[in-house]
Amino acid sequence: MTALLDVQTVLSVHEFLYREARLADAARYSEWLALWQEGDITYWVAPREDVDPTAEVSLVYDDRALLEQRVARWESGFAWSQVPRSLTSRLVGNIEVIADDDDAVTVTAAVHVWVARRGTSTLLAQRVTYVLGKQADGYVLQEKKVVLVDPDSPVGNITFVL
Amino acid sequence: MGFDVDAVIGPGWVDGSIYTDEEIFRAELDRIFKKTWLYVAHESEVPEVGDYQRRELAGEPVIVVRDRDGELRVLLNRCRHRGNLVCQEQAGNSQFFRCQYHGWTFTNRGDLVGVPYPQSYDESFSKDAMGLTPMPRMETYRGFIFVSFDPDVPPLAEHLGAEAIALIDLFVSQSPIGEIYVRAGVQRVEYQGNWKFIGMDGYHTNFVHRSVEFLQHAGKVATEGAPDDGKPAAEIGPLEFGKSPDKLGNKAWSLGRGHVHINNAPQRMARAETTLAALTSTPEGAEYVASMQASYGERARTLICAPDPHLGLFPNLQIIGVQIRVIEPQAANRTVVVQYPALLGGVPQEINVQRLRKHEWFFSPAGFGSPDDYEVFERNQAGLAAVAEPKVVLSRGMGAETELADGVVEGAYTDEVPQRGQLERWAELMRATGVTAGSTS
Repeated sequence: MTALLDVQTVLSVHEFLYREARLADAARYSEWLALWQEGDITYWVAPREDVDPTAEVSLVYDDRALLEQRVARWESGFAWSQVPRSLTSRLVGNIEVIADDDDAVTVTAAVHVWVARRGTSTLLAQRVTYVLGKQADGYVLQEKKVVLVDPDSPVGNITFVL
Repeated sequence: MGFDVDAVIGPGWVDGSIYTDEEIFRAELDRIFKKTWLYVAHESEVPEVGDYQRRELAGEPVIVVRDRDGELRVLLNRCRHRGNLVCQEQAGNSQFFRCQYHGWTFTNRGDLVGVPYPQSYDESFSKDAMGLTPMPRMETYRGFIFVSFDPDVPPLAEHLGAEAIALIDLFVSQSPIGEIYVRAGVQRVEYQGNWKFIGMDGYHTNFVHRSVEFLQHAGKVATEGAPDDGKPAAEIGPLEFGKSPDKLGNKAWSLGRGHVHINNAPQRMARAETTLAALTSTPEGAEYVASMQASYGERARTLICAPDPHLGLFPNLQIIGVQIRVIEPQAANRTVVVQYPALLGGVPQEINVQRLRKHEWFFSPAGFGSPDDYEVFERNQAGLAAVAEPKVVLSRGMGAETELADGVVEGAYTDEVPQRGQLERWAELMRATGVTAGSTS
């Protein structure tokens, strides 16, 4: 960060991330999708921070079309891995605005997703980088990169919003 | 142990306890996983001298290493002193493995070369006899490394058989230079269910993968096996809800020795023109098609359009789509699946990128296909807790099979031929005597 951020930027970034988390936890998929900008986006769940997605497999590497498929699948009622759906509660913390450009801000955060399914609960710790585009009426998601803090242990059902 | 194999398996049925009973599970580790060939790694994962990978076989920690002489070795990851792990990292490159408990040091050939303060051992102590324990048997086929805990297993080629060998060849022959590289990362998934649920099942496709069929009908992805509509084929099964996929001509095979195969080439070849047209519409795809034709001639068309071996090698390996998938049983009700996408040698990078994206789409733990399989396996495990009617029915297509050459049995796509083939082998190995006394009783 080169200059001191104004309070309005910080608060509005926080508010956006909290809204994204709340819509994800509530499985309000269409509203969650509407947080993303029209056109090119990247929704990426990567195995590590410094990975080349053209050389290594990711958990999710969605462009706009794939993200829409993902939401359509969730909403179909036929995605059995979310019937019943995983119950999640996520805490978004350690939020830092690491770049504030004319068109977008880049933000990093630690996100702890508590997940309950069939009487068992787990905690999925993530490092998340968001690129939020600036529009007249607020921010829109351009990129979301999620890195699992523990990439080597087997994952269970992670078919909810990551 | 006390259980009677013939009380839990019969023609077209098994007892649910084979999926739920912990005693049976421990017997499976001894009588199946310790008694036959297991896949452990691919040679391309340890290309350089000193490269190593840690793996788990039947719950035991092993190291796959290319030693200082360039030879492949599979060694138990257990210090010969007090049994500590000698290798901590998942993968790396090292000339030595040093136990950090008391400093015993082994070369990457497994030889014990360093014991601190050796004068306190008497003359009967010999470093030469105290190297890291090698797996009793190791053989490779086209870079696939198989090992066995049992020194008396028959040769690997006999275990695999001609059909399985041809299907491994098919997988590798997607590369114009016949090389695959297993170094595109790994996905580890765990489900709360028995390892034997991972089979080869044509019957489930339209039901478990209903969401994919939904996406097809919503016009978001192409329908494989449907009349050629000009859309490129996705890497998915013959999904048309309400219509029997048997009409597409796909077949389900039992290859013998528990190995199984779904032949989905008929469905894929029905869309060959579209697949080729989509590929050749890009310069990278056109280059790939041309190099395949140069290497394989007429056969290139099949290798490009129907490359999925859909092969299950009993008990711990599947080769499906672009991936090598390894089954690591943890308990009767818990299984880890490790998925390694394989990249092709000698192709434009874009072809390999497409393979990664195609794999993620269906098979990723956050993808659109496999997670629904794992969900159904967990439901299956939960359902089997009801034991009033304990039989699990696997009789679909029984009596209607066709015997092909070499003990290969073919059924319709949705027939339970693969399930019966796997479980017949399961019963054969579970019946065998010679289990170490006291190990499971």
